[in-house]
This record gives sequence, C-alpha cells and structure tokens, in this order.
Amino acid sequence: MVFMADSDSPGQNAGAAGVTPARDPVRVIREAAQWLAILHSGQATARQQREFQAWCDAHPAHRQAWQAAQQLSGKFGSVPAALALPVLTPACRLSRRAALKSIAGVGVIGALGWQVHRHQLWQTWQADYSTAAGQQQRVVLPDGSHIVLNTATAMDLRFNRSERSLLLYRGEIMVLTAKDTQIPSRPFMVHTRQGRMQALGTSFAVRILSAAAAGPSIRASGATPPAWAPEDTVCALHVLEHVVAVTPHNGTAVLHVHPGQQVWFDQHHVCRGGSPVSASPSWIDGVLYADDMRLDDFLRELARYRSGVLQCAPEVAGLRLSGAFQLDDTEKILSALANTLPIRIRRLPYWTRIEAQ
Amino acid sequence: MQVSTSSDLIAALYQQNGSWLQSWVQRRVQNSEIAAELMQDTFVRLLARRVPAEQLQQPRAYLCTIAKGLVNDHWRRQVIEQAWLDTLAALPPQILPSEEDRLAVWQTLQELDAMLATLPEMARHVFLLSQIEGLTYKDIAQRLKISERTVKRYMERAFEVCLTVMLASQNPA
Repeated sequence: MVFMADSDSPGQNAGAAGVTPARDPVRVIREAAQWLAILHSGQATARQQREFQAWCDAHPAHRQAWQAAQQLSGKFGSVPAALALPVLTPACRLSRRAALKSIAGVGVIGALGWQVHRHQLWQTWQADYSTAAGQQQRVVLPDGSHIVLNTATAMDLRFNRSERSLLLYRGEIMVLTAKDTQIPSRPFMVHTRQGRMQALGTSFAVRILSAAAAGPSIRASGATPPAWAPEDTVCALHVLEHVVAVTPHNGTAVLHVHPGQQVWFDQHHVCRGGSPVSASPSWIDGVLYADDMRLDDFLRELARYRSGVLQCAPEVAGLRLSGAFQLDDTEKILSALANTLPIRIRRLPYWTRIEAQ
Repeated sequence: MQVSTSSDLIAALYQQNGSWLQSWVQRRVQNSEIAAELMQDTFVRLLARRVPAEQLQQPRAYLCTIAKGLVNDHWRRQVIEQAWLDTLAALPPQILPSEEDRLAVWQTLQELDAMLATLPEMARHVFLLSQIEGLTYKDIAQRLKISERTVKRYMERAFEVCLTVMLASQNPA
C-alpha cells in the first residue's frame, strides 16, 4: 500500500500526474467523511460543493467513496421516516411522543409495550433468569426459596454473605421464601426500580406493570388509582402469608403489608388496595380470570402471554366479558371470545387485531 | 513455537463443555433451539480464531466471552425486531405498507442498525436526526443542547463508520 502525504483540508494533494498511486483507504474514508459532514450541515457553500467535486475527480478511490456515500443515502431514503426513526433511535433517546408524532395514535396493546424502554430491555434480557412471552418457570434458589416466574419476566439474583436479593426488572413473580440456613440469617429482599420489599418469612407476589394495566385491579379492590399517567411503571405487591415491609423509593416510611393486602407503588405514589384478596394469583395455575372486565383491559393482560402485538379497536374496547381462561392456548381464548362477543379477529404475521364484526 | 488449536482439541472441548455452555446460553435466550445454535456458533468462532492451545487452559472463561458476544448480537436483533413490530403496530392499518414493502424496509433497517451499532448513542442519534429527519446541524445542536462543532464531529465519525462498512461489503477481504 502506497501512502500519500496529506494536507490539512480533506485530501487536496492526492493524485500526482501520470499513474495514479494507490491511497490508504482509511485516509480516503476519513477525508470523505469530513466532506460529507460539511455537505450535510445545511450550510454548505457553493464553493465547498465545487471543492468537493474536485476532490472526487482527483482519484478513483475518492470517486468510489462518493459512490458508497450515495448508496448509503439511498438506503436511508428507501425507508419511511415514520418507520425508521422509532426503530433505529437509540433507546435512551427515544421519546414516545417524538417517535410517534407523525403516526395517528391507535390503541396499542403490545406484548412488551412502549412503556418498557429499550435500554431496560437490554438489562432484562441479560438477566440470570428470564421467561419469554407465554412461558413460566419455577426456580429454586440457593437458600431453598421457591420462585415462580410468570410470562415475560426477568430477574437477577444477588446472593452473598450479607443478603438474599432478587432484582426484578420486569414481569411477575411469586415468592415462597425459605428460612435462611446461614447464621446470622440474611434478609430476603426483592428490589425493583420503584422500591424494595423485605420478606418477613412470607409468600407473596410481585409484579411490574403499567399504571394502565394496574387500573382495573385497583378499582376492583375498591381503591382509587393515584394520579399516574397510563404509561407510568408501577410495582404491585400482593401478600399471601405473613408480612412484607415495603420501602418505596420516594423515601417515605416503610409500609407493612399483611396477608390478603395489595399495594401498588412507584417513586411518587402509594396506593393500598381496598378489600383483601386471599387467593393466590390464578396464573400460577395457568388460568386468567375475567370478572365483568372490559375487553381492552382483558386483551392487555392476555397480550403478556403472547409474542407479537395484540391490538384492540376502540369501537369494541368497552365490551365486557367474564370467565376463566386457560393460558396454555391463547389462540383458543381469542376464538372463544369471537364466539361470544360481536368481534372479528384479523390475523397478520406478528400482529393480531380485534375489531367490530 | 505456538501451535494453533487443532480441530481435535476443539472437538474435545465441545464434548466437555457443550452441555453447560448450552445451559448458560439458554438461561439468556430461553429458546432451546436458539441456545443450541449459539452454542455451536461459539465453537465455530473458536475454531476460526485459531487460538494457541495454551490459552485454552481455562476454556470456560474464554467460551463465555465468545458466547456473550453472540448472545448480545442475538438480543440486539431481537430488540430491533420488537421495535419494528411496535412501530408497525402503531400505524393506522390503512397506511400499513404491503407485505413485500415491509420486508424490504425491515431488511434495510437491519442493515442500518448493524452499521450504526458501534457508534456511541449520541453520535447515532445525531446522525439519524440528520439523515432521516433532515435537520440542519443548527437545529440538531439546539434540540440536543450541544455545540454545532460537536454535531459536526459526530457526523464525521458516523460517516466514517458507515462508509467503512459500505466499502467493505463491496470489497470482501
């Protein structure tokens, strides 16, 4: 590879008279990149355009780089902005409103939902234990505690000399703690972004969900949901035996939650359920109950157990249903709904839409 | 004299380590078929790297490093696929592209995603605002609260990365 001496401005001295010597491709690319950065600024002058043209003509490698740039431009041009921007924008920069501003809002009930930002998804998918949509898993921890992971759940363990901790990133777990064999015994904690929960010898269920998804259960318990936006993420705790001490991350006092009680919390609000619920969550037995439930709320729950997107048309969102549904076959559940409600199911790859008949 | 790892040695490593490695991968991808594929890819990569035999005294750590990279690639593909599905789902059905168009767009998006993968997030975001939204550097600087000089720097970096990929794909090594 023959190297040519370069001047400060992108590649002005390249290409001597006569035989064209080869140029270092890395340098050519760097010069091309500098030119392109000038040309795309929105303030490129006519003179800069001419100088760039001269650079292209100066050497075949420059021309090749320019062609590659045009192909790149072609690729960007071939994808509709409304699709490309939300998909390619790095997760932490993604704002739902900005990405969807050119798209009319339709009721979307995704298996994962927009409210879980993609950088969280990274963390969750590298977790020690995780389940896919529709999957459940039973795990025995090093201290003999039993955990059941529900659909689309991810958690890490942190077991060491001083603690027995679960870090729940998303989804839902049922915990049955065992007495610590170590002396002195270590506290058993479940940590979520919303706060931490300490088990005081207990059986309990923890779920991370959107405020929209929590609404129906909060109301069903006779309580009033706090001023959450539908896409806020909250933590739901349901204690079955003994007590759990909850410390929400808003720094308020510790709450003690007793058997049958439910509490929903995040960094800003805490909501205690009204009437107690003594039964274990039905998902442990693979069943989804609906008790005079709105169709859109029901589909939101069902969507957790499926991959792909489940969408509910606004016209049918308010239809009510009741029943006990087996979660092992969600297609069957949808067909059953279509038999009893005035709805139609439209199936596309990865995308199912429930609409009026 | 260093001797590269023979395929016999790799075969032995596969026998001894294939099982736990697959479990390790499966805990991170759930799907057993994908776990098996990624596990095998790990050994294929190991073979291709021609690692000297001495470096494989502690195969576990080495295998995990390779497997971790493959798992990350897998999840990056999953993340972008989910983003794609979410985005499609938010479209009113009347403007949903046809099946063929969707496939073409999806393939291009995957290529672009792979190209941009090595860029730091800020550089990537700046580049997309310029190339997809068509913003000037002045607008980008204002929106992201950075200097125009920084925007230009990010743009140079992004173009370098993309051109490298575009040219490499034309002239395979």
